[in-house]
Amino acid sequence: MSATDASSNTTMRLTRRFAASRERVYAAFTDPELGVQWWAPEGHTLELVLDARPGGTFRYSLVNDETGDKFVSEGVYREATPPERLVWTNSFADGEGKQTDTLVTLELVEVEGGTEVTVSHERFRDAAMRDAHAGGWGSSLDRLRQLLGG
Amino acid sequence: MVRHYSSVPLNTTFAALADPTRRAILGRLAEGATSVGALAAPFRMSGPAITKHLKVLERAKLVRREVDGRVHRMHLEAAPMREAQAWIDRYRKIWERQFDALSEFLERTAPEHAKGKKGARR
Repeated sequence: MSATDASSNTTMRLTRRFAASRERVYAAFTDPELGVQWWAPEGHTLELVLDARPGGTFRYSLVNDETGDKFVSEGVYREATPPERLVWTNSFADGEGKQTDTLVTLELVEVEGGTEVTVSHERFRDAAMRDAHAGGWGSSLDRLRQLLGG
Repeated sequence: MVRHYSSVPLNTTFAALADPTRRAILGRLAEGATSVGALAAPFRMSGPAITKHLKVLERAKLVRREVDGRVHRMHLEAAPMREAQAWIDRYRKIWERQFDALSEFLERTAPEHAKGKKGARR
C-alpha cells in the first residue's frame, strides 16, 4: 500500500459531562482500585497496575472470563496534573499482531453540575510520524481531514 | 498482512499538505475525479501554477493522474483517509462505552447525601 503517510496520524475526540467533581473523575482514572471497578467490559476480568505520575507506567491486562483470551496494553504517563489533565501513551498489539502506538489525553473542565471530560485518542503508526506530529504537523493533517469530510 | 509503506519521504508528504491551495485541491478531488482544466477553474490560477501544485501532490502520492488522450484526470488516493476514518469510528465506540461505564460507576459510588439529587454537588 502506498501513500499511507497522510493517514498515519489519526485522532478521535469525544466530550461528555459527568455529574461528579473533577477530583472523583480524575481518581476513577488514576486509582487502580477504582479503575478495576468500571474499566473492564462485562464478562471480563481486569488487572490494572498503574502509577499516574509523569514517567510512571501502567499495565492493563484484560481476560475474557469465558474464553480466557487475554488483551494487554501498556504505556507511560507523560503528564499528570490532578484534577485537570492526564496524558499517557498506550501500546498494544492489534488484531493483525501489529504493534499500535497511541496517545491518550484526558482533559477535565469544571462545569455547572459536574465535570466535562474530553478524551483525545491519537494513533501513531510509526516513530517518524510521532516525531513529525510533535513538530506541529498534526493540526494541518486534522484540517485536511475536515476538508475531506473525515 | 505485511504492509509496505511508500518510499515517499515523510517531509514530501507533509510539505504537500502544508499548502492551503493543495489542501483545497484535495478537498475538490474528494468530491470526485476531475480533469486538470476543470480543477484549475475555481482556483483562479494559471495553468502552470496548478500544474506545479499537482506535481507536488503526485510526488507525495496523494493524487493519481489518469491520462486519456489529451484529457488528464486527477483522482484522490482516498484509501488512506478511509482507513483513518474507520479507526476513528472504532475508537469513538470504545470511548462511548467507557464513558457509559464511568458514568454508572460515578453514580454508584456517589457520596451518600448526593444520591438522588440531580447533578453533582459543587
